[in-house]
Amino acid sequence: MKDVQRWKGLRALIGDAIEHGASAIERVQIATAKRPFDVIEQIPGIAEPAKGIHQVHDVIVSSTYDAVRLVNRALGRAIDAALDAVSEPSEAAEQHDPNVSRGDGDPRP
Amino acid sequence: MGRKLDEALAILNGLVGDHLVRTGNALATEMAFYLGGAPLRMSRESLSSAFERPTPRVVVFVHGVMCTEAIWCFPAAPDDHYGARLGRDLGFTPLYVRYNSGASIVENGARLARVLQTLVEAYPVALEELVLVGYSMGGLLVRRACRVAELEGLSWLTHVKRAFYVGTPHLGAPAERMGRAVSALLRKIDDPYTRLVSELSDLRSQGIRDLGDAHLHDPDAAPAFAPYSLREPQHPLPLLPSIRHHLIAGSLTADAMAWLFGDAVVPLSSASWKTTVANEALAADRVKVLPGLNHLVLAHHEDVYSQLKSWLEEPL
Repeated sequence: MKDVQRWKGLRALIGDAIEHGASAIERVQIATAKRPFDVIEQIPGIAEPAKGIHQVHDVIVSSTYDAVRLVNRALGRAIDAALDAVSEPSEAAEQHDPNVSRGDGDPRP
Repeated sequence: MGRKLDEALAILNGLVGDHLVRTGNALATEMAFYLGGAPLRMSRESLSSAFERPTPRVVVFVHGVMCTEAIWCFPAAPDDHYGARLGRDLGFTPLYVRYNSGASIVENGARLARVLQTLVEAYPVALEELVLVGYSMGGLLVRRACRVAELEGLSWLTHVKRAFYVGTPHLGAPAERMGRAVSALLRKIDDPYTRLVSELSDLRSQGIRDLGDAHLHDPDAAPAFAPYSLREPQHPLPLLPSIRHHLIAGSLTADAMAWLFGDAVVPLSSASWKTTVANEALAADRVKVLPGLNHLVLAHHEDVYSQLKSWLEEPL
């Protein structure tokens, strides 16, 4: 049971990393694109269409990273369900005293 | 495999342990006494069966950041450690604490205080003395636990006559303060990439952040340190005068550079608690600087053990 919990923990941690990583890169991408757009949006004549393109760009970028986060969460739930299914049969058999679990020959204090 | 997994988890806990606790992640290590890589149940029966002859004198070892109790093992002989030697030479029963070093020092210190109380209550023979040995961050946990025991009147504190701090950053770790300052500087720059680097560096755990100023103050009395400050803070939490405190510091060199770099992680001034404020609880002969020892080897070195043994042989 403890092993399954740890696998679920590892899955959750990787999920958190993907979630936060996607959000951080999304912020960088939007902020980086903002610089040339800010310049172009000052030019008379193309300012208005540039603003529209800027908005479309930001929406596409956000949608892409939203999709990454959505798939990440769905995959996480699927893996958790699979781990639960795998752990159920072995749960009943697992009864051990932590004091007896000391590995023979483990030299650690 | 077990030992390598435990060490990997210890590193992970040290890096993002506070996040693991916050999110209820099962990878977070719960503080407990460990024996042979397994947690020790705190009951009279299990302690009696774990130790053939529990003695009235107990020594508790508290490891540092991103490691487990295995850090105390001598590399050439993994079943040899300070505790085993103190058991053989001076009749101590050694116990080793494992904990999530990414959690804040204040929280971990409070947990250590509770764990020590359960030990004292469950210990199978009448306790004469409880010796505390903290390595690196572990020393700060010992100090915080003593503070909690003093505030809450926990009975284990009455058994503590001597405490030992090995490579403990009593005045903080400048490397962490430097990292904090660089991160704050990068955050100020109006550039998405430098901000990203700053965000990444800010992912480090609360435990590591606490090392910067040796943050173990009472939660309602925590001073607000300036994020850019590189100076060593004058520590507001003094050593308990009821305990005889002993400090061991490593230093890579014997020259003036040692003062700055110390054991390569903790400067000599921090490990030997040299402040402008006189510390009445700390006599000069209870501070030992061992030249040629880096931070990592302090937890398993002949010279450190000789010094510990020599101090523990002194009459109380």
